[in-house]
Amino acid sequence: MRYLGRYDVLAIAARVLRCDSDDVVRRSNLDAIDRVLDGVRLTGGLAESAGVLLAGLVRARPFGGANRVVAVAVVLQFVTLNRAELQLEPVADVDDLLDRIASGDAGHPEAAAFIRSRLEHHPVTAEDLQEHLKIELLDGLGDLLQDWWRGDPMYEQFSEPARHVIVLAQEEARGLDHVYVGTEHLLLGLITLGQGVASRVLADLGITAPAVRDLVVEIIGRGRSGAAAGTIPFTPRAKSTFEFAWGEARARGAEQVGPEHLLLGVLHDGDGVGGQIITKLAESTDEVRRKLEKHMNWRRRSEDLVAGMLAEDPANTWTTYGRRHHLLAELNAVLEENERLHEQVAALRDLLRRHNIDPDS
Amino acid sequence: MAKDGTKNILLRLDPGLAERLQTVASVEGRSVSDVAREAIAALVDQRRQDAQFSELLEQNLARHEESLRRLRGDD
Repeated sequence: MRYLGRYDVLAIAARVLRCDSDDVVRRSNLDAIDRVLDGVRLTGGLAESAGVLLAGLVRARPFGGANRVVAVAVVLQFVTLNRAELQLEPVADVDDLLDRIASGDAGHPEAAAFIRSRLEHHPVTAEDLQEHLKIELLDGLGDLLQDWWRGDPMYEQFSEPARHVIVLAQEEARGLDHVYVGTEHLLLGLITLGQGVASRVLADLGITAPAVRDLVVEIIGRGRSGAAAGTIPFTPRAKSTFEFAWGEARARGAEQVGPEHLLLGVLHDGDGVGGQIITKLAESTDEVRRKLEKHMNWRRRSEDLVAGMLAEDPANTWTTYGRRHHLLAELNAVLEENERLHEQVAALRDLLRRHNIDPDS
Repeated sequence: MAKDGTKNILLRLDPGLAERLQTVASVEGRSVSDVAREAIAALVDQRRQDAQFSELLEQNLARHEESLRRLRGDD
């Protein structure tokens, strides 16, 4: 997740209000902005983060008279920076939401739900990924390896969510001012993706983004401010993680490398910073792997069931082609709904933990 | 209100930074608020000069110009 900082928000406000930087600093309540941004950093998924940002800015009114338009512009920029787009039309619904937030009748959950319903995610293309994977090898092995890496067809096999994890990992590295992307950033990317089996398993085990970031800072520290400009290279361990994930995907008969395979890669490298952090936050990497494989196997069985039905002789089993496809679509919808519910439960468990309530008590 | 008609800014600073700001303010004979505001404005300027960030912002504002214009104002 690419979070906004105080200066990002002020820069957006200055542009919207058409005033200079000094003016916007004079006109804004900086402390209120900081408090809102602190709250956003405690959140996970994009819709939730954007909801906290919007509700926080509308309630705190750090920009005085033109607060609403600036707040909405800030949220638009936040969403776009995270590779999605927010639809404002019909704008009357936005006004209604902002009224309810301002009057205290609605809060960040309502704002998040509204934003979720208006979000369109930009797909991460192979070209985007290629751009993010411009490797500047740290170990100095030269152009030969670099070309081998760039030309590898492996990345064509990365699923859309797996590509998104890599983009998020780069953003996490940038956020910590690190000049490389390591397994710890991949772990953060897997968490902040906020969907799918890998995210769910990590959330179930209480491995949250703030906790991981704290440990990254404790183990490695932050980089020099502004050092992580431009393309950030991957560490050799991160690259090994990709290769391992690719191998796992192929060994399991998957057509594409998914986030769950990337997590298997992070778990495999127990000595990497990502693996060390998982060991600190969970019982062991083996425990996480067991849970992950359990979820993956469950999903796989469901998919096999669907595929099996598809392969059966329609003359014996299904009355018509249309009915067969209708039932398969329904089955898939049930699976998706089940996954969504699992994600909601994981989010609620995380919320309880953040309030020091044991979800299993 | 400060004497020049602007308000003092409220900002949480770590003690080390606050101390440095206090030193600069004392040397230059200005208020800590003034010095902090100037420093923050310089950082905002820097952010506005980030081409990628600005380009994205301009695209966003252009795309949503009509919707933003119709958004109800604050009371």
